[in-house]
Amino acid sequence: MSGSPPKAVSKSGIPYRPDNDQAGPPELVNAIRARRGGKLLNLDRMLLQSPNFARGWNGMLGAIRTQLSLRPKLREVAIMAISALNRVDYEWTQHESELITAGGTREQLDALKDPKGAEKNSKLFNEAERAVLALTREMTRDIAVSDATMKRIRALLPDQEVVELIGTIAGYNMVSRFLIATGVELEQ
Amino acid sequence: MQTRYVVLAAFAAAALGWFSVAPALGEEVTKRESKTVSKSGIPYRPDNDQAGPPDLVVLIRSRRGGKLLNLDRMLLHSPNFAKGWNAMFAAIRNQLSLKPNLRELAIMTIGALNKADYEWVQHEGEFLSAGGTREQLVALKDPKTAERNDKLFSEVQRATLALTREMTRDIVVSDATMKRIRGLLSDQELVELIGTISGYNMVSRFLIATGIDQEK
Repeated sequence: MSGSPPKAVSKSGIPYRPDNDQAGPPELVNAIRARRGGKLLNLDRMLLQSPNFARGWNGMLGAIRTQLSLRPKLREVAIMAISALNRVDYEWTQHESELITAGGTREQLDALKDPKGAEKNSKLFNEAERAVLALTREMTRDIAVSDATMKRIRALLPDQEVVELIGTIAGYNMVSRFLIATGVELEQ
Repeated sequence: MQTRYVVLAAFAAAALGWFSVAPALGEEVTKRESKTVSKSGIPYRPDNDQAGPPDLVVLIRSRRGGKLLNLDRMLLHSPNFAKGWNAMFAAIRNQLSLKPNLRELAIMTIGALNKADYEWVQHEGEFLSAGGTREQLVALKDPKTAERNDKLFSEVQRATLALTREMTRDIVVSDATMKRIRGLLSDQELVELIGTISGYNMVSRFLIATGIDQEK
């Protein structure tokens, strides 16, 4: 046997569901595994404390990750910025490779550790990306969005993508809060 | 400046020949018809069967007692996102073991903390049907004070208010608050409460950024 055994209890002291078929209802465990390439994340083992909540979460986040017309690069730029703003290491680590797969660069990844700086960096980020960073910061930090930022983003994206981007930013602010409060640890 | 615009508008209207008809017509239209554009300038999908894919519109209407909210007409710009949203929030509202009273307490608090009036107004009725009182509703407009009000709120309610404030404002939860709430709820209820607080922080952000108007 190699590697350490899966953690039994989160940083907040909440027990994880077991890392096997006993984690939850078989059909739900299968659906989650299908979305994660066969395994269960610590996040899933926490969500499975409530099968109905886990099912709703899987439906919502599955849609955000794979069923939107919003460009994956813009989605992942928003997610990295939210992770940095909210200091959610788990979210950041899980999404580093997603940003790269979506066409992001290592340089952009580094720059996103300081989202406010990145927002003004026109060498590394194009106008749509910088507008996404402004919207992400305002929605995450202030909740209210300035007229200027709304106007800017609406000029760059069709209504469907604007709604999807707002939904994605709102959704990952949910993810941040869930991860931090439950104290979910990074996988070994 | 403003006067000049009014004068210009009057000239334009007179030139078009409908100056006297326009105001009366306008009034009638606002009474009868739903808003077409949100406060953020994003158009709503139509308030009829054309709002989105028929199966999804039927599903959302069944959850809303037959109608579509302005929120739904915004979500339907993206049918797949709307479907995911509907599944997630139907689960939170109807399928958890968390007591409805604690769920609605958290939601009202988030509505107040995030100044999401739409969320607050939509949930007043829910809070009362879940056993909340008018007095509690008034107290929840100031969540931080409500948290210390042991005349109106029980220990588990005050612990819920503390967790809601910390998760909403600080994101980080203090050890003391986590210990307190874990002493009062089962693990399943706690994960559901954390999920609900997280979820309604999502709702606040979506409502405010898209600029959803109250229904008439």
